[in-house]
Amino acid sequence: MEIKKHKSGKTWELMLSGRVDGAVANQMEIEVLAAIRAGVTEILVNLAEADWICSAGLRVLLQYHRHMKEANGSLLVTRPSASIDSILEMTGFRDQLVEGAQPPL
Amino acid sequence: MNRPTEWVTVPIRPHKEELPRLHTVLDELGRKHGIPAQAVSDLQLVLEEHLTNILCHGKLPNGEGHIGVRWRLSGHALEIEVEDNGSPFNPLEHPQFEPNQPFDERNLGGLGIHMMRSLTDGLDYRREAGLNIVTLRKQIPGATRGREFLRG
Repeated sequence: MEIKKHKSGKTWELMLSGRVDGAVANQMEIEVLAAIRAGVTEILVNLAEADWICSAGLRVLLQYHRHMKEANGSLLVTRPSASIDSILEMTGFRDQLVEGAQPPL
Repeated sequence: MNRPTEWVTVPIRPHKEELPRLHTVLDELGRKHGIPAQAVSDLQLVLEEHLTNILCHGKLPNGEGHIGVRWRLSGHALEIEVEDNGSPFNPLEHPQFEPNQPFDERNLGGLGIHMMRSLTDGLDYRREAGLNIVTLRKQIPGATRGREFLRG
């Protein structure tokens, strides 16, 4: 999959579409590392067009979410498709990873 | 229509490069039999998790690894069986992943199995003739509309 990037100052938005399988999870990690090396402080992973994300993909998101947070930056999922949102909810990562997510009441 | 259709085998070599092709086969199956896209998507994710587990942790015998995938329609459900000749492993006995406990990304054991349980309507394991066999079941609303499914 070609991961499209939208760069705006120190913010990079990565757009993933279709199936975020093991191979795509690896590609995503490569892009995230490139962003970090380039001094990006805000990474947005846009999953509006993604059908699903596997545990390897979730692992990458969590690992670099934590890394960026510790470096006073951020990595968040934006505009998750309904299917992705459901997966994030089912695995308990929605509140942590989705931009603007509110904790359950 | 209560009698299950015959099992249809999907030839697959035990390599991760085969997974995208398997997902495409599921897409086609879904289109051909009117299976809702979300159900197909759920099953693709389940297979991605399970097959990746087998390939990464299943300890398939060197040079003689075998993975078999087959499907059939049974009642109002699609059943998929995955067999492998790796070491005995029953995913149902793996400790439960708890979604809302504190954790970090290094401690995600069981996440894939949790996803498998959550996205299927039935998940069974048996060991037979040196093979691990996992059966996944997904209810398909409106399935078994008759002869169109028997055309395989």
